[in-house]
Amino acid sequence: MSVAQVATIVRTRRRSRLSHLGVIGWLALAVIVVFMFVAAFGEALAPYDPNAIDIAYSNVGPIPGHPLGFDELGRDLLSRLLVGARSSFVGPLALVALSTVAGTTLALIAAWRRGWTDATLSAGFDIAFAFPGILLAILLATLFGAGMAVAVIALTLAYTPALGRLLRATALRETGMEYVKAFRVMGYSDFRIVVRHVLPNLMPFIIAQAIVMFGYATLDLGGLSFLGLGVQPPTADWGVMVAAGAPALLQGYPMQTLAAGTCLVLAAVAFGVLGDRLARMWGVE
Amino acid sequence: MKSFLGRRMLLGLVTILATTFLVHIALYLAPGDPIDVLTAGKPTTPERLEALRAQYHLDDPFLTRYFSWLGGVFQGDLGQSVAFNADVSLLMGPRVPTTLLLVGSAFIMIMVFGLSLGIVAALRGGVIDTATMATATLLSAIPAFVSSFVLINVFALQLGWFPAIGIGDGTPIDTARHLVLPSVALALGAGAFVARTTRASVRTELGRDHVATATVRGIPRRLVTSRHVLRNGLLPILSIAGLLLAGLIVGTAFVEQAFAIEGLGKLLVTAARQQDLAVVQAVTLILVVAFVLLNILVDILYWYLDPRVRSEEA
Repeated sequence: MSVAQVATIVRTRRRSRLSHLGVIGWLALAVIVVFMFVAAFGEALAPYDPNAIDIAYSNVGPIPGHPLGFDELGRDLLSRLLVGARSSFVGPLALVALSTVAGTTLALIAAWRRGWTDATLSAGFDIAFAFPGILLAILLATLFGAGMAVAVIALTLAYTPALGRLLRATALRETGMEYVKAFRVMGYSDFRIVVRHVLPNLMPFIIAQAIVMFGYATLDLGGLSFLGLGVQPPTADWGVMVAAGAPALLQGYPMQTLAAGTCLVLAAVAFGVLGDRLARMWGVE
Repeated sequence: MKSFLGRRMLLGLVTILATTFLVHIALYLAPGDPIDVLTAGKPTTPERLEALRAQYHLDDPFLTRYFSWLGGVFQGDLGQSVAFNADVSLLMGPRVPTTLLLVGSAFIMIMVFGLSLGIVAALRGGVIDTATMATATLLSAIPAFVSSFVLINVFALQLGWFPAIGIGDGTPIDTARHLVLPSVALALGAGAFVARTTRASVRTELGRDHVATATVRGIPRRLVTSRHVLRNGLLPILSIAGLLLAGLIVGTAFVEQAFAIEGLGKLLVTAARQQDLAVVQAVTLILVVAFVLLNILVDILYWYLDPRVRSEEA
């Protein structure tokens, strides 16, 4: 085992001390675990059919057996919130996965090749970064029809340069390090050095960024669903529910809008805090 | 200054052209006949199809198509709305001032409250600092489409201080009353962001050597603060102005939707849902032009306020 490889291992070990998360970090992690559990098993947890309509119970408040009451069509609100977790997180998951892979690949190419490749990619990042993702999503929804897939693709185009920009700077520093030069002298292929040695060292940064990004993604996709440009009713989804409850809110029954909104904000805060704490713990702010 | 301004304007022009071009490329690349996209798959009359083909020059080659649209824009012809059955310029006209009022009042709130809270937090420190920053962090995580409804519920429905929705009957006092809640909703996130940036930047300046020098020379704290700390500490706010403006412009879509305000943002969303390309294209164009112009304005301000930028140019 070469000195450089030992150095790589030592650095990775030093970074993984979960006790440094702090109380708030652990709290955020707990919230996320609960949300992910609900997203996975929401249908089994829901006490009622989330799509069972009973107009007689339209906007009726909490009664025994229905702790959050009913929505505008008399559907059980708690069941819809539980089932809606999946649709509210699947989009962000796809968005974060796609843009993390794309952003990391582009940033690594820019940092490794340098020169005009780097200049071109960086300029591309800067231009694309300035264009608001929501506006792009609105444009694409007009052209291809509203839906979660279109919203995810549009926001991927906006998130990728944002991550690429951040990661490029870190990757430039990493590829300039001694161990990289050592591997080059040893005749390792470019691909092997980047994928087996540079990328693992960047993983803490990438993971922390992806988690922070997940928080933004939840709000952006929830917002698009609120506008009617993401998930489409009657699918239970928190963003859709914020909009669906608006007429009732104006008539003095705010439960659906505020409950769904609280879930979205809670998720966004938890991801933001956890990503922030992890970045600080790993020293990759 | 001239070359600096020239370069900025050129970059702005490229951004505007690229955005409009993007829409046309997307329409061109869209699978199937673009006419299906334009009619949004709804059944329509042969005359209507013919009119749409002519309006978007669909029988012309790609570049001709783009330039005839662009030429139309320069002559004030933004096309016909499929969904509203009206001239796009007639749809937009009355909505522009509404959105301008909303963005303007939100901007004033962001600057007044964001800056002052950030400065107070940085200079006072202690409990005030912690409390302000914790509140700001929490507020910046609440999106406008949620905060709007919380504000409506508390300040319009429970307390009855302000009207819940709409923009009022047009008299100045009524308009102002209607503007308060949507402006706050639009300003909250960005205001919290400004407060945090201000605090961090003023804090950095407070720790600088020249501030310590000024203090030990016996210059009154008030003067040290105003001349040495704030002057430098407030400059970075300009550098986040671009992000801030983009956020405000996009934010109008959510806030106008929540408060049922007939502005450009709501028009954009309604048109997008109906796949009314002419309207979406025109509103996007206006928003991007506004964004580019404001960014150029920010760059000019920076040039005047920060001598370092000027010396780099020379």
